[in-house]
Amino acid sequence: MIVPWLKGILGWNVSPLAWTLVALNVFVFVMTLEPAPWNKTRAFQNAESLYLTGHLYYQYRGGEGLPERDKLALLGASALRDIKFMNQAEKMEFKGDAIAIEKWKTDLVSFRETLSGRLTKIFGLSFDDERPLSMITYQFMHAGMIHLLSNMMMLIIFAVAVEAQLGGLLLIFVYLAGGVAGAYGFKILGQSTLAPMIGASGSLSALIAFYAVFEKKKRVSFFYFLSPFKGYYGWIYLPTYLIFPLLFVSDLAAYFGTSVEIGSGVAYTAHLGGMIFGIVFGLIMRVWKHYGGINFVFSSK
Amino acid sequence: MVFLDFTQQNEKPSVHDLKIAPVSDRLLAFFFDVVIFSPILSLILSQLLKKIELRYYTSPESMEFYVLVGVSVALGLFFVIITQALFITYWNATPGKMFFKLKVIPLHGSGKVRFPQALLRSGLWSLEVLFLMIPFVEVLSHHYRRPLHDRASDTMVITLKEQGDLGPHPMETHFVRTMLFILVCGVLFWSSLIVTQFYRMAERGEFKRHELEEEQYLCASITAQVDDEENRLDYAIARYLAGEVGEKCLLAEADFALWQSEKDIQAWAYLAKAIHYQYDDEKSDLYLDKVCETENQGEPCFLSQALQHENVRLKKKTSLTAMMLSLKQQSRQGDYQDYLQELKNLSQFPGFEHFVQKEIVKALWIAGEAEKSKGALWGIWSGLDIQDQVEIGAWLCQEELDQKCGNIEYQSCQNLKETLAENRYEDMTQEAAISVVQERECKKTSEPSLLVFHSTFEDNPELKLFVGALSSESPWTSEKRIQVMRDLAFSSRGSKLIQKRALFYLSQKSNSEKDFQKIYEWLAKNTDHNWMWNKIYKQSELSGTKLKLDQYVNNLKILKEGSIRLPASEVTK
Repeated sequence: MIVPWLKGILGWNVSPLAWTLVALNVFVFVMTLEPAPWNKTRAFQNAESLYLTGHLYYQYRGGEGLPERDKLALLGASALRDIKFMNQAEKMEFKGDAIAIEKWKTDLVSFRETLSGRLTKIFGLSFDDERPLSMITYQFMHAGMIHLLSNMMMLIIFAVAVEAQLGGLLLIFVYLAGGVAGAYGFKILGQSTLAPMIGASGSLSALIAFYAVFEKKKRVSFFYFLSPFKGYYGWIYLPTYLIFPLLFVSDLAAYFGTSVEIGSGVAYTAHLGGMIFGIVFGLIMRVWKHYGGINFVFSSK
Repeated sequence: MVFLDFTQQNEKPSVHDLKIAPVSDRLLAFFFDVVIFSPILSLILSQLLKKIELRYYTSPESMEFYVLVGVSVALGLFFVIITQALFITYWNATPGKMFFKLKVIPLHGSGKVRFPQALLRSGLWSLEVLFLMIPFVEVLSHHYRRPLHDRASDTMVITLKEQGDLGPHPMETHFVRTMLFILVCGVLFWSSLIVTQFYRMAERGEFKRHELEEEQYLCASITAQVDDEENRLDYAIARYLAGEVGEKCLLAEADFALWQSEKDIQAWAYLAKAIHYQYDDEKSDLYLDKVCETENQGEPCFLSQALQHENVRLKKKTSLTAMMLSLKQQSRQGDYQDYLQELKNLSQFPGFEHFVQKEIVKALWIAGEAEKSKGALWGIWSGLDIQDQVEIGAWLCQEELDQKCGNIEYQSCQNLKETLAENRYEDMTQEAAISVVQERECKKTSEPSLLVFHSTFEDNPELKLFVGALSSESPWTSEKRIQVMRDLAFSSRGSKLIQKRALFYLSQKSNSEKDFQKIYEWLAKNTDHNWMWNKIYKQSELSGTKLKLDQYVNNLKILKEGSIRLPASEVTK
């Protein structure tokens, strides 16, 4: 196990806004906690249903005859990511097993209703979402305990570091603007999907990238633990640029390595959007600092 | 010209002067290298990984999938070997080693590691990774912490820190070497088991069977017998009803017909779907209605009506499906006179051999020709596959035990047990489990152990309860056993087979009038007067006479004649 950890600056009085951000995320998570409708969505997303969806999507795309059997499930998965198709398929005419098609249409309507009533859909960022406010609200929502914990662990480390170095105002700006950049990354680079995006990871990527660029000469302390024997645990100080292969390259690899048909549960494009913002903003601030224009930010500390 | 003196011994390395790198630092350096390089490697291989992911979901057992995985592993190894070799040649360390102040040095020559030396080291290191990193364990036992890749390339990892490692304690060395020895013995033993298993599979022709089972849109076993497109579905349905092909085959044929939009065979396809969903009444009815909606004049529509109205007798058998449905009808009505004749007619068609053979054994037994039935079974036994052997073996074993339960060695039970044991009880079915347990009880032995049913019980809690009530090894009292059987017999849900066996058990063992009332209720409600129904009827009639439930016995007779159906409360009065 190896985790970055910042020693000595984690106190509430040193970085109150960083802690407030974490508290706000936890508060929103608790308030928006709702059981996952597995029984309703799984029935629609099982293998049998995916094959059927594949047949229908093939017809919708103007295919003739029968597609390769191997491709049916993938076509079905692609259909689930095609918002236009999924929003109007029940009104379309299809050829084939009429009984199964009727049932599929009923299931589709029920599936959509289930999704639309969920808080993640209301406050999250959907691919076809036009509401500007959802670009902010999605940053404070989380899908589950593991999602929240992993994001908050990294957030507290880097938010505290940024606040301690540059002040609370800048922290809030990077968090929110990074989240908005993440939202654009999701919409521009991402693959169309019915599932809404939620989570602070876009903002978090922006914060990490910003810190790594702005404080490039700094070393980040990492705590490692292999076993409780002496020599197998302790601190190691690594340069901030190590964060890039750790985060940026792995997100890029995951983005290029994820197939359009299957998709992924992680919005790598939001990470990339946030990270690009962090890098650019970090460089701007470095230049600004170089010419002495950043002093007012420090004064807010 | 100066010639080198090759007879001269190499200078002994002065390794004792060097500071040996601690194992913990080497381990951490390795983890750091993994952390740093794995995202870069993933990025380089991202397009290949994407293709692998797609293949994994579409055809995980195809050759393409394995080739893609192989190419990715090869490319990954190539990247690791070259990168590591370059880092060691130019900086004497990988990034992870640099962070932990470790250095790879040659034991002879200058302080620099030559590229071929570094390449050899990296190549062997990668091979060790492929062997699940087990060879690395040597780092714990070697005096100078030099595993295979260090020794072969004549290098050593040292630390630049003030304090070096002292090397392992002799006891530590001994312990690690012993563990490695045990591991090697374990691997050898395991490998020999695997090789034997593969050899046995090859001998049984299982690899070929797996190949043949790979189906495309159309079912291969149907194509082999029928050229005519129109009759494909009729043939597929009939063979499905006979248990000769699985649901995958039937659905493949039906789906092909439906999605191809060939109107003339769509009615057959809907009929196939209705038969496939026969245990889901709502779905089955929808498909049956759709058959006549698609084509209201024709064989499929007639058959769907016959299926919807069970009392319609199928007299005209113009299709194989009609023949099969008629056979099922005769079996349900206990009409075994015509059943044998119909089976003989069916045997003229290819693809029904196993079904016909099994049913002839059953029909002969039911007709009271026990010896002929057993003779027929031994005649076909070796030609049956394992599942058929288990099915018919369990049936005949159960029948013999029901006829006479005692310390008798029934050939059918013996053969069943041998077939099951040969396949390590992997083909255990509900019927087989009940037969084997019943035989144990009749013979009062404890062989085979109930542990062999463990996985079957896990999937089937009802069976577990049934066997618990049947087995003398169970701690339950006789009252508790009867109660469990009652619950199983009069439950509206669950396995029909277990329900019927429990009813049969109750009709033998129960003394309660209330139980007989309920048995009557079941007999009256059940319109399938098949062999098991008749057995329960006869047994309850016998027990009723013994218990002097005269009214009950009379009512049973009336029920059989079909003239009056009394309410259950009136039966034993």
